Amino acid sequence: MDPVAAALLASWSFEPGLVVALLLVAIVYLRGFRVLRAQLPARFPGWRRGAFLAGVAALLLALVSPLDVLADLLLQVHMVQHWLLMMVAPPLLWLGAPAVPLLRGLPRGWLRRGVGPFLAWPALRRVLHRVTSPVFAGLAWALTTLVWHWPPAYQAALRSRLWHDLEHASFIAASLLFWHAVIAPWPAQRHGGASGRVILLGLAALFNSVFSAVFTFSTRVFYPVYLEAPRPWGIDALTDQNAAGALIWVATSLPMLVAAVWLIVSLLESPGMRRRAGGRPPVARLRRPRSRSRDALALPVVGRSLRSLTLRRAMQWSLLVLAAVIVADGLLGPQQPSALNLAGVLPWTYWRGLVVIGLLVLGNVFCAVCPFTLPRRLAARLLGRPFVWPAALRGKWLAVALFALYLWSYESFALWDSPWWTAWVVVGYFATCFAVEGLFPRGSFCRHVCPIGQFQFVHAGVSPLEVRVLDVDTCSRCSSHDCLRGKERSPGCPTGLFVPAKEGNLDCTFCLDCVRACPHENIGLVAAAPAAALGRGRSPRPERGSGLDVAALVLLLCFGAFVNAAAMTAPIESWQRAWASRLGATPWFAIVSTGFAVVLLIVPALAAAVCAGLGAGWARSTVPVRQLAARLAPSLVPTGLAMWLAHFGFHLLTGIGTLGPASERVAVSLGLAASAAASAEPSMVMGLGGQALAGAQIVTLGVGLVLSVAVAWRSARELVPTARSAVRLAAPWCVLCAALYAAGVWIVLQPMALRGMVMT
Amino acid sequence: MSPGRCRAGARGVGLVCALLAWAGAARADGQALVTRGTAGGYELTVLASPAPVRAGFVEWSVLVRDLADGSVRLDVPIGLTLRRVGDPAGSDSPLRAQPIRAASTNRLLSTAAVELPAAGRWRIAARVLDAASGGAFEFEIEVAPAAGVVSEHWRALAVAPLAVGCFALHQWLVYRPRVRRERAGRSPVAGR
Repeated sequence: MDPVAAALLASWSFEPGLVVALLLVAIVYLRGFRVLRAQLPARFPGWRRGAFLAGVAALLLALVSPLDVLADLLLQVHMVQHWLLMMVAPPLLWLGAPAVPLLRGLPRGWLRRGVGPFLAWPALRRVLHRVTSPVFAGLAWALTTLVWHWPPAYQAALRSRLWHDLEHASFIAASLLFWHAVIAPWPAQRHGGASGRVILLGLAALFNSVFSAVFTFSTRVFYPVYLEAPRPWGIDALTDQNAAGALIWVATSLPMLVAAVWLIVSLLESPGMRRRAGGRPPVARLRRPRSRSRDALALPVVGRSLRSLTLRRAMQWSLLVLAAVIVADGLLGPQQPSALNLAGVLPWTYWRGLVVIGLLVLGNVFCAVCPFTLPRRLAARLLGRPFVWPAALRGKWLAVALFALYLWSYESFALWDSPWWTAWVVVGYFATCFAVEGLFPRGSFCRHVCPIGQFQFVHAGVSPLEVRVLDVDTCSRCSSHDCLRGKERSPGCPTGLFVPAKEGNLDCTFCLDCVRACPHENIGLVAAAPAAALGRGRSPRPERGSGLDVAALVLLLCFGAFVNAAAMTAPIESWQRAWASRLGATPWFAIVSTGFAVVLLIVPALAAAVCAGLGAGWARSTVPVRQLAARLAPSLVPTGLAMWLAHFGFHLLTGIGTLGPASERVAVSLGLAASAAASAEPSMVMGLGGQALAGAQIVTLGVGLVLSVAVAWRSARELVPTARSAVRLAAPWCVLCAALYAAGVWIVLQPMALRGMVMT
Repeated sequence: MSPGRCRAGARGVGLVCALLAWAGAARADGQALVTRGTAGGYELTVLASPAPVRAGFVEWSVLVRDLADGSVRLDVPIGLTLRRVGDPAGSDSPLRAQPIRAASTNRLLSTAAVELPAAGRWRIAARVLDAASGGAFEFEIEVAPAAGVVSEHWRALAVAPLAVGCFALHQWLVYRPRVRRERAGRSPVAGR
């Protein structure tokens, strides 16, 4: 093949967002179509599915194929692109009668609680009724075509990405309206009969003829940008313009002609036939069939893997070996640069990011494959668990103190840059776990001590999966409560959760011991709406008391996310240095300790007290302020998790290549690889990054903010009787979340000190 | 209009909105023609993104055509040298880049990203690195100051307020009937 043609054919502008979004639409449509076709085969014949998928394909072809890049060079190609967007994709999409299949394809909860209120909004219905009228739709289509082909607007669209996107969006929108008026896809209301639609088509065809003729017979180039652009095939700009006019004349007339013929035929059709095909089915027939269980454990391969104890043990052993490698390399390997040491790379670049991603994609995956499980079991055998966990240490206060200690030590000892300290932290963690689990009842370490576990427990409230009973009635008839107490060879819940009363993922390690212990096979890993259980009033364990300990943990984790991320920004680092030089002989750790005490303990406590107090006063709530703080503080969890994800995700993506040189160095030092291969210094161990990453971080923070606002609002609604009071009660917390969001945006836009990275 | 019909019409909005959003996400090539010139028997067309060129990361693309027959040449290596005009001599070393086809969406072009540290007038040399017919042409371009944070990230920044607005509207639609019922229940008319 000619290399130029081959290069052109390879010029696909793959846009992951667009492609994934269109694929999702197709999947949702197919899901809904399958159900509807089973119920209404006459209404949903197979060709409708084909038409819709062809419409999606036409959109893809127009927006990501070589047409998109060639459109900058040739007006003809640009016109073909516009033709696909305006004359091919919209009618095909509407022929698929997509409204009901798309809605039916959505999860039931999304449809009823998410989309439902919008669909029932009278104002929206009125607007839609007006804009889908033939007059409005026809005018919108003609005006959009004219405005965007006006030379200044057209040239602006060629020069600016934003204007180009707007141009395409308005083309698609106007054409969807136009073709909606022509096709009137089921079950939309028809404005007038088929004759009116034939007239609309006739007027549109007339407009198109005049419009195309102007281009076809023009004697001067309308768009100077094509005069300046290189002409790859020697086609001059005027010839290109004339050809584009002729092309659009014929190509646009064709779908209009087909539509007009179809409408005229339908006009001639007998009323009886129309009734048979178009009658609205009774509502009962449209009811959604009973959905299958949403239990991930019931899935064929995935479910078996999740249940498999052998697989779980294998993963725990693997992580234990990795921990041993980290300790060995941290203690014995080179300390600088830390990015060439596995203790500097594996925990701080990879593990943190992957754990947070795991939380968002599945749930508490780290606890599920926790490497500390094996020493815990060994400790129980050796030491026999002779003591009871002290009552004073029940709850989360000890974990709060330990997590604060971790955050402090991270900055004070520069853990990210010190493999030696990292190794000792891992050793200390294993030793503590061994002692606590050997001396105290099973699960004491997870429930009351482990800072990683607390991080996971709290943030798993945003996870999409939850360990839950499948049928409440079965549990009400059960008297053995094996899920909690355990049975022979199947221990019960290690953290003392009673699954029928459990709400959310707090204290759930995803160990699935309860699943294995339940004699009725009534516990599953069920899909849950993100943050659905955060801030719920029901407490699974009486020992939690007022819930202030959990609130304190949430506040620490949330503010800790921002402090931890801010500390790596250049302005904060220079500010710290300025303070250190101003204070002279004051030790560095004293400055860090004071700063941390203020921003991790005093500021969050004050913020929570002020928010709860202000809200209570404004809403005139009779609920005690402490209780309000305990119930509303979990609304900060999504904001905090978003900041952790933005921070750890940044390290993961920018440092994704660091494992290679570090492993290579270890392999060489162990004599497993030739030194020549590893001797070359990494010029720049960097992965992805740039502006797109900052944008993704901001979007992540935005999603966290929205979820936080939703949780605050829902909790407030449960605490006070009226919507007005709920707004007042939730408002201070929403403002706090917004302030944290703003702080997060500031942080991600700062120049980052790429700590622990190798750069030359 | 019956509620069913209205709802059916409203259902269409989901599709329209979704398609609008995705069309918005579709990326245009976005590169604007900067200049054209000849060097060593070739015509070089230089394009840049963003347009107008601003300080910060700029994508430079070059299309090479053979002057003899006008054909596009994909095998001619090109080098770019960028230097600020009016800088004291030697204060800034020139920026160099070698555009490659793999970095370009349009595979007829070769592209390289270069970070321009400052606004002002820049002199750019496009050089044909082909030993047989090497040559260069130079041009000057006015580089605008870097875009502000808001204009740089406005799409990402718009997500949070838009989503919060949608959520507020959603909740207003959910609770409006209840609030009306609450008010009606307290009104004297309803009490009679």
